[in-house]
Amino acid sequence: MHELGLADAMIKMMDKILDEEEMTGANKVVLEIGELSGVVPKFMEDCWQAVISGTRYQDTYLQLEIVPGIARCLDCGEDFRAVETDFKCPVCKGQKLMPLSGKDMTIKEIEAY
Amino acid sequence: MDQFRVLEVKRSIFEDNDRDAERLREQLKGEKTFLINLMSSPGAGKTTTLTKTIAALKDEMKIGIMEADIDSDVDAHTISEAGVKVIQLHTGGMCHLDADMTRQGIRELGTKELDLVVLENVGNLVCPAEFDTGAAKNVMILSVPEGHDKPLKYPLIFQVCDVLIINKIDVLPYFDFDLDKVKEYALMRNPNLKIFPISAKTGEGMEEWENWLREEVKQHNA
Repeated sequence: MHELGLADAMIKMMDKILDEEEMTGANKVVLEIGELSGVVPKFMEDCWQAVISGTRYQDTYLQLEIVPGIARCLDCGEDFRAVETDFKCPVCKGQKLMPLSGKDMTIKEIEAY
Repeated sequence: MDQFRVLEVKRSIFEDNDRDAERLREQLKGEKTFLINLMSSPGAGKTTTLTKTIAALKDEMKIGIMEADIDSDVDAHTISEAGVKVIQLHTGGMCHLDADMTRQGIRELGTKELDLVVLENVGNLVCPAEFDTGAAKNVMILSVPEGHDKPLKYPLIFQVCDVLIINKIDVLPYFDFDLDKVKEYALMRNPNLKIFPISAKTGEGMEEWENWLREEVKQHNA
């Protein structure tokens, strides 16, 4: 239930943003999920439904956008999409990787009122 | 009618927690209290390892323990018998502890006189790895029965840890566990990882781990 903690962190962050902007609620929130974040989109949607119940976000629609997880091979320097090659470098088959993008979970935008 | 506005946010959901964690780390540096965040799967031997470590170090330094559990205090009872200050933190259903909960625990524990605080995180290899607690060092325990392929399945926790303790090496003969392979896989994820194979039960390897901890506490609190 790793997504539950993330959904909770997301709500706390939204509270802060809405307060800063002096807005009261949101119709929609767009969340970017990195491919290397280990988040399962379906579980994220389910957990979102669970955490918003009884809050000011209970009618807020969660829209997910997937950000490709690009990794760099530390042996040969190749950059590639890690999930497509099962975390092996497509050039030299190296497994010493450094993630370049797609590790994070980012709130991209909020349609607030 | 309501006024709608699209807010361009572009902020990581970990941003607030990361900032809280950094603040706590600085505070503890100033108070000369070394905080470690101990993580593992359930049943890897966190509490046993901790009990033995406390026994070895408690005459040299003042130690406090924060036990984080979803909703029980079994571990806190066990640890309190070791004779150090211990508090129980309940995460209220959450599978991890964040920096703010850690800060509240630290305040309750009152670290001003403590040299070492160990946060025993919720038994889980996924969520605790994502939320920085503000600890000076992250330590994880992997036990032999769990298998040597864990670094491949749960890469993030190996990346965020400074130390990997491989526990229960006394049962190595009975399991298909390759100690060299686990080291190789773990170092693949994190080349700077310090690895200590131990048996908290027999005491094998405990001295190397305790020496590392002793040295780190000394350097941090200098």
